[in-house]
Amino acid sequence: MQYGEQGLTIIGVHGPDFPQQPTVAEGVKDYKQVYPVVDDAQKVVWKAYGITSRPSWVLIGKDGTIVQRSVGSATTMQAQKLIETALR
Amino acid sequence: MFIPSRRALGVLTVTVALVTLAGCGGSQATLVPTSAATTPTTPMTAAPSATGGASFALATLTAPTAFTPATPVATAAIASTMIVPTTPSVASAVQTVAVAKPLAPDINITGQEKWFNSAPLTLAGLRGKPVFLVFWSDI
Repeated sequence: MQYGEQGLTIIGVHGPDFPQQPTVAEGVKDYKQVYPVVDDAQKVVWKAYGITSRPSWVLIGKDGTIVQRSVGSATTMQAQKLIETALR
Repeated sequence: MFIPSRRALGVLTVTVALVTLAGCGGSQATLVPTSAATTPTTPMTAAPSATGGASFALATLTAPTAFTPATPVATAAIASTMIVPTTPSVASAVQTVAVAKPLAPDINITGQEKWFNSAPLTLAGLRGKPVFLVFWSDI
C-alpha cells in the first residue's frame, strides 16, 4: 500500500451485520486483506465512532484526533486527498 | 477690587485641579498633567462674568463641575483597566476550548477484541502517525 510506506497505518474494523454471517477470519482471507483487522464483534468501536452503515472510514491525524469521518458514502478520491494532507 | 489676571486664573485652576485630583486616589494622580492641560478653558471663559476675585475663587473652589472633564477621563481609564484585561482572557479561553479537539476513541475499548494480521494495536501506541480506520463487514 503506497500510503503505508509513508507512515499511514490502516486498520480494518469488522462489525457484523448479523450474528450468523461468516467469520472475520474468512473475510480477511477472502478479501486478501494484509493490513491489521480487529474483530469488533459487539460493534463497540463502531458505536464509539457513530458508524451506522458501510462503507465508512475515519481518518485520525498524527495528534490522535479525528481529521474526517465518512459514514455510508466513502469516496476514494476524498480519502486520498485527506490522507495525503495528514501525512505531511 | 481685585481682578485676577488670566495667568493667575490659570495657576489657580491648576492648583485646584491638583488638590482635587490628589484627593481622588493615587491611581488618578497620574492623570494630573492631562487634566490640568485640558481644564483651564472652563474657568477662564467664566472670568468675564465674575464680579470679583474672591467670589470667582469661591465659585471655582465650590464648583467641582469645572473639573468634570477629568472625571470621564479617569472613569474611562479605570474602566479600561478593568475591561481590557478581562476581554482577551475570555477570548483566549474560548479559543482554547475551540482548539482543543478530543482524542479519537481508542480501538481496544473492551480489551477482548481479536486481531488479524497484527498484534493488538492501540491508537495511543500509534500516536504520531495518521491512522485510517476502515469499517467493513464480511458480507
